[in-house]
Amino acid sequence: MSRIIPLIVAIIGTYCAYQGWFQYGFWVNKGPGGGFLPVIIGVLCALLCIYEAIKNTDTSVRFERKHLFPIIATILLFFAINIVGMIAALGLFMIAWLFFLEKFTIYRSATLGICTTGVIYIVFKLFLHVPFPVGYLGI
Amino acid sequence: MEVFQFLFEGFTVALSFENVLAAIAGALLGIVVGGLPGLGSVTGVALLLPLTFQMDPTTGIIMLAGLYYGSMYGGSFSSILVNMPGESSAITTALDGYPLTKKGLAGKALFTSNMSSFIGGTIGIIILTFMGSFLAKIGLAFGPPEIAAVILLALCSIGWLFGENPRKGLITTFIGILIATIGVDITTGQPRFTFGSMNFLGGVSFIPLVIGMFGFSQIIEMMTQKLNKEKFNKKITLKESMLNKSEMKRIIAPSIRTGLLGSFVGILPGAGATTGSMFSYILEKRVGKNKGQMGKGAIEGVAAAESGNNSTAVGAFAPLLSLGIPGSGTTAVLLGGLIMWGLQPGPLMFQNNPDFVWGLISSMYIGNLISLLASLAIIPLLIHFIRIPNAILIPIITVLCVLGAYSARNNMFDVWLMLAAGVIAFLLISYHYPIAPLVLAFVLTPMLETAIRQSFSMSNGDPSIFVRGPITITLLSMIVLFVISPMIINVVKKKKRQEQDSDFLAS
Repeated sequence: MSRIIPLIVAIIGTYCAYQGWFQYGFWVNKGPGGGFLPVIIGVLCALLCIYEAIKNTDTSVRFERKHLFPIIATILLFFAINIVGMIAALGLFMIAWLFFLEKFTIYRSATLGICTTGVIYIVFKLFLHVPFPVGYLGI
Repeated sequence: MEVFQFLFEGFTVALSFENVLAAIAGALLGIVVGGLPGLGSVTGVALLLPLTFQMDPTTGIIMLAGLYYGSMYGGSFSSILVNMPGESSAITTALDGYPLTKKGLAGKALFTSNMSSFIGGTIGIIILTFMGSFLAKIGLAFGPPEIAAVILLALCSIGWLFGENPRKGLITTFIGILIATIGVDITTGQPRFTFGSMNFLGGVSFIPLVIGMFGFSQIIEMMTQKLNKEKFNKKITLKESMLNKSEMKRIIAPSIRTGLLGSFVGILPGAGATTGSMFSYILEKRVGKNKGQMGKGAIEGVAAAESGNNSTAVGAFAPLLSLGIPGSGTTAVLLGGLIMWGLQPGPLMFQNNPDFVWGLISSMYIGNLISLLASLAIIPLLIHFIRIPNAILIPIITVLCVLGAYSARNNMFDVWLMLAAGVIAFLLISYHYPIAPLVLAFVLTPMLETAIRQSFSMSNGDPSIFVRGPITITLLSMIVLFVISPMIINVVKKKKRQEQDSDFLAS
């Protein structure tokens, strides 16, 4: 993986340079075109990343399953927002996280979840007038 | 002497009951708005602007100015406590602020941040009072080629200064520049790297990117750090948080020099507090006594970043009031407010509306002091926040990340963007790629691209425009001196070492 990261970035850099040169134009009407920066930076980035991939001596990093929890939870939260709306989904997210992952009692989880949601509602909705998305249930 | 008389008259305006109240309200709101991720001073000023139209213009602008520098104080809180900059100008504060929190020194970091914000802000206000209009004219000497050279110098420096491996710092700088090119090209109207998505037409939104890269990546990391919570959540008292004599001594010099630098950066058109804090951090990392510890949790790093961003915020008022040119995004919104109030910022404003101008400048002294007192007063409350166990803190920060990403543009796409940025940043951090250069390059690139294009447009495509003026020549020489020379020195040193080794083996 320590070599894969620079190689992926090198491919992205090459792609940007290619698109910049052939699609957006490097030099247009006596001035830099849309591809000016992507070409220069893309080429520099690709060259440096290839060098980094060759020279890299980093030891591999061990990832744990726990690292995935917040990612999965946020994806689930996104779907929950579509169903119950953002405010309710955030409250449910807090309660579910504390109850299932942190093994809090349902009473403690619910109290913390409701309090956090209340503060969010007051600050963001009432004070700052942020228009939160409403879910299918119309909450 | 005339200035003192104007200032005295200004204080009589600023110290009226309603104006002091406006300064207090603005400063307190600023601290809250600056501290909330996703909302910055621009949003805060834009939200408050319609409310101030019913007020007297002087009272209105005093309240908005209070909110502006109050948000500079507040922006550092979330940076220091949860590694999530509330303001883009607080990115550099997180570089040392969060490591200090991890060491159990969050209180010291908060105290340093407040004290240096006050020092930087005060320096900025004094300079604005006595040299504002003069400095604004110097700012005018910085045309597109000069601005391009300044930004290029900053971009060349950040990759080398952050992180242990300059190569990796440069790679993330390049990634930041490439991400910044996504969206419709303003000059040609051509969409770049949008992959047909409407959401990318306006470019990658800054707030979700920064929340994901700093905040969400931190949450993923914290999932496996629960065992360290004794150290992270150890009980901190207010007394322990206060800076002792030697620590105060350590932050005064960095605060003063970065305060002076920040005031100068503030007058540059479009530079803004983010650029100011970044240059200040770079300066401290170059000349500071404790530069070796910077990035690992040095109070000097927090002091440099905070003093720099506060003085830049104040410095940005000089071109706004004297020339009618906004020095930052927030002052651009303020300019709109001034015009709506029927005031015309520019050279004649000091003559035509002295009550307004000097009332505003005087109110800054009061507002800065109020912001300091309010920020110091809430430290005990903030200390309680960091004692919340990780088990509760993680879902709360996740919720704040989602809310902050959404609130910036009220768009759910930004929540996905925040998530993706968080995962990418986590992978990069795991392999020791520094994230700060990426975010700072992302902020600076649009300014660089515009300045380069304007320069070529001025010279009809002739690149020699970048070596015509003394300012550009000096700045380009600095790039060569600071960036290329260490590379050459390293190569020469390596060669010498190899020669010595081969000589030793031969003997």
